[in-house]
Amino acid sequence: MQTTMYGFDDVCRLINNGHTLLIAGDENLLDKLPKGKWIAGTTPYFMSGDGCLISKDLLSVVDLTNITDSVEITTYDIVSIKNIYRDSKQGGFSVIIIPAFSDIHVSFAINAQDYHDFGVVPLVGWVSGFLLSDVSAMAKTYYGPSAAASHALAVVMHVALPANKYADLGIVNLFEQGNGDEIEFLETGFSVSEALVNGNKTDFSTYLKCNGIDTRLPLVADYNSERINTSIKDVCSGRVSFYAPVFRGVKYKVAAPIGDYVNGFTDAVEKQNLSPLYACNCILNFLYSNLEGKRTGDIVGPITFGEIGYILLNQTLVALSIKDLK
Amino acid sequence: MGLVEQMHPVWKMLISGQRDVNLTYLPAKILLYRWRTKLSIDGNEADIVTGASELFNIYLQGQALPNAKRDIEAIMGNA
Repeated sequence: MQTTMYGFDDVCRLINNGHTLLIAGDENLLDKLPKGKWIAGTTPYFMSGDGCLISKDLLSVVDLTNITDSVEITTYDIVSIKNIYRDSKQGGFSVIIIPAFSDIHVSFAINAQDYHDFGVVPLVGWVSGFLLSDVSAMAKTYYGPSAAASHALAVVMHVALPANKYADLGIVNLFEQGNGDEIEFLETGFSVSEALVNGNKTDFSTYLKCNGIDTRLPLVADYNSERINTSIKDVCSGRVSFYAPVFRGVKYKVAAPIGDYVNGFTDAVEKQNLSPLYACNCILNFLYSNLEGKRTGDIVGPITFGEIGYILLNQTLVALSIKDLK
Repeated sequence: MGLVEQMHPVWKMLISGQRDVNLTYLPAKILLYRWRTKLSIDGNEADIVTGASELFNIYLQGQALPNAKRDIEAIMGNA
């Protein structure tokens, strides 16, 4: 079953009937959900069958009830998060939701690749967010068994699968490295002052300004032919900040511009033959490509403040499909 | 084609960059890139051993999956 948009009462009914759910929505609804077998995170932004939308009245729901009879729902803090892969169910997958701009968001983003047993099962998920025009809002996650909200904890569902099924995690990234300079950073982190541009130490904010670089384009690294984005958040006062960390030693280039995101996205989804159980897309794609009211092919799900496909990703669609093992 | 054993030198050769294979299995791509980056900064023999062990473990756990299978065949075909 694919992601579906539901009204509040319908979601309460599913929870009370014992369904296993992944939920995304506004906090005014999530705060009132009954206890049950679910995890959730805040966002009012969605890809729906009728086009991308902003809603405080609808919830995005993935119902896992018919694909698994065994899940473990838990929370992780900044200390225990390193065990997330070790705690996963062999042959299954895990879903994580992390509150945006929390300490665990930063920690996961920097360290996920170093966790025990990294990558032994697919880890899919998203960073919860809030309505950008609401200056007092904070991202939350929800642990369904107690219906408790948190600004600081990651919520995780470890999902077992039948022996004849497997979870296939794919990413759709329309951005490619441009033809410009090669950029490296001297330290790992969410903000920098200097970079090595073609090997020369440079004030990075000055470099971006003087070269007229469109900061809506992410930095793109090539991880063995997998393009991994880091989005630029802000350029000011001699520092450049990012929505995900840049890593020391990684070689980046500014992305080439994309002409038409919607058509490019639809083509990429068709090319990869995606029909995911779960998908999420980036708030920056929503904003920069003016996606409100536009359909993203048949892909539906939350629009988020970061996407997780084993590691934290930016400006990327993450999709999880359940397939037959042959 | 099987996964052979963890001590096979091919895993260390992949981590150290002595051997290149066009991988398709996403977690292996990420892990391999991370280890090669780490080694390019301040790596030593112990890091190569640890990285090789982690890469083997990803394929051991994922060996039934199509992309992992494809990679294992490519890796062992070149071993």
